[in-house]
Amino acid sequence: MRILIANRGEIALRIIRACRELGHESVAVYSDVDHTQPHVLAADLALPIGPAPARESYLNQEAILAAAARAGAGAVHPGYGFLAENAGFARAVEAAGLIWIGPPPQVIELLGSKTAARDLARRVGAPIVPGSDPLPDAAAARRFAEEVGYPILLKAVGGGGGKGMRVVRESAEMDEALARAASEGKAFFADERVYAEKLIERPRHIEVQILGDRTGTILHFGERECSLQRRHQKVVEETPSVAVDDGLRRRLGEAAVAVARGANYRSAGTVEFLLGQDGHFYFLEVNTRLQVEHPVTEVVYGIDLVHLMIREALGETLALRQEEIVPRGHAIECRVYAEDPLRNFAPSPGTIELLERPGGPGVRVDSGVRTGSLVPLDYDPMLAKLIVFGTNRQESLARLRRALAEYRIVGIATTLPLFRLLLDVPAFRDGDLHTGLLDELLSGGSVEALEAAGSPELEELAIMAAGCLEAQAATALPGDLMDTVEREGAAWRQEGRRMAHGRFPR
Amino acid sequence: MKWWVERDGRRFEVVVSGQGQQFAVRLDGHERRVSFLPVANNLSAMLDEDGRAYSVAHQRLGRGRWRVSLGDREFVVQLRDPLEREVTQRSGQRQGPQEIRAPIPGKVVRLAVSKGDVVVAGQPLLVLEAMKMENPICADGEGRVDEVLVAAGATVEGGQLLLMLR
Repeated sequence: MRILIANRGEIALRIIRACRELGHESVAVYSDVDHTQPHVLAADLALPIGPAPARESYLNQEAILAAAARAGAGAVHPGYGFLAENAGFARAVEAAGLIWIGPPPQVIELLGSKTAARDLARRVGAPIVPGSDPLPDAAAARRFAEEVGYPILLKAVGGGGGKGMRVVRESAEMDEALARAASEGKAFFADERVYAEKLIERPRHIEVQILGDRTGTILHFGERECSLQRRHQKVVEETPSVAVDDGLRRRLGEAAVAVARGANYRSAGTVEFLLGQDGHFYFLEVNTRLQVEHPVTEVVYGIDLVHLMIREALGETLALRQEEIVPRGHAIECRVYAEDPLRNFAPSPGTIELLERPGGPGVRVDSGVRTGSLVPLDYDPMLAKLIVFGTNRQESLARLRRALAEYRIVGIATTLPLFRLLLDVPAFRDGDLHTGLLDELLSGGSVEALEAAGSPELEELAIMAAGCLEAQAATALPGDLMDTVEREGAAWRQEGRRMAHGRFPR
Repeated sequence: MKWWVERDGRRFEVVVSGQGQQFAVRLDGHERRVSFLPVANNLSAMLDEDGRAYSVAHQRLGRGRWRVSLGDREFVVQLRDPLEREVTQRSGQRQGPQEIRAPIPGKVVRLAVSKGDVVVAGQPLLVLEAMKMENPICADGEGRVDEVLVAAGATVEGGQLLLMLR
């Protein structure tokens, strides 16, 4: 079988590797700025699909289908992001006579609707966060709060982005909070209706990996804890979660499988839950794709999810039984992004001048870049994923510290310093996590200050090294030509950068 | 060679003597001898007299400005010329045109001001999008928009002049 991978970066490479291991041929696609990226060079065939902007290339369905036809591909794997959860694209792939490696289009469509997914969860008995209909008055809001227990969250029906939301901790706050939520709803969304939800305080984000086949077998592969998030973006993931024991794992798994069965799910997917401090969990949504963080499940459960997805799509049935699926050890993943944690996570596109990868026991690096790679500004900033695993959480933490000290990326700023810092945060070390933790840590003090405070000796050595480097540079470079020009913003310098970022001179 | 660096709001003197690969570095009056050996582009080895060895990944960000990663930490070190102290102190007090440059490459999603507008410190001037993220660019101080050098939809490079405030 010849399989086209409609993606780029580390996930494209990940899928190409699986194709090669299974004896399938791979077809990479690439935009104009990506033509020498590792995923292009690793595939058996590679075809261009358009200019740098994603909507003209990696989101361009016609160009991708044309590439599949030209390459003689028989199947398409979408990876994650881009078109992975686009039911229309899945349909177009199937209409072109190709195999879609993922859940069927109607399943993507059903679960893509938050309200339909929530209704489904309710129907199959998976717990959902208790919510009300739009509230006629404060008395109705009080009745709801007394029924589910304080605190509750009032939300404007049209709301989003934190606007029109109010936390109510006791009955006395209700009237004013309701009035404010309604007036914000009216001001921002022209809708003054307000409904209420039980507030789950300091929740964990816990998700369950599922896998189904066309005979109706649906299995779960335990949980992943993804509570460390920055502005709702996952940053660090691990499995097993310190908050999940065997009993809770079984109940989470059963809830996830019930939702998946209700949707006639097949292929790989993830059912997301919030886990309250009291041990109650609530269904959030289903991601109908392979997740970024799938490797932690792979190493702890001894499986290859991409192999299984491809084999299932080609008609194989799952030859595993739920009782055989048991976790062994512990794994943590860090998402290495081209963002500068020392400058408020500013995007950091550019060229990677040096890349030294960690190795040794218990270390896996899924990387989409190499020394010399250009990191374009057109796509999401994911460079690589560092996954470490050990016999228990303590061992994987020690291994993470060791691996992070070996990992070097020069030329662009990355989030590696953030992970090194996190290892010294007691709440992370103890696994005392919740979805707001990282944002609290980051707003509490700049990463840079915490870094310097944590290692004055290393800072001294860094200053010494900079002194030696500057002394060496003084004899090697012809003065400070580059800097002078940079300050003046000379046109040729700008054009040079434009080309370095993969764009042609204007 | 002699510079100063700022740490925790204090200034420390850095003096480096030697050349090639052997250096004596005096930091805040305390001197250490090190070998500083190139390994690859952007990677060096630093060995001290006590037998400690460090792999040092580095990138030159500008005059005297280095991003240095060693052990399990990463730093941006700014070595300043002894003369620079006077210059920066004076220029800090200077009133006059203020250049607003793009801190990162990206695309101008929208302009929040136009020529002649009066702005205050912290007011968003325009929004740059890069890597699927919107980054507001704000005014450092108050002033009047003197010139707008980019249009919405334009792609700009890091360091490119966007606006002039007066």
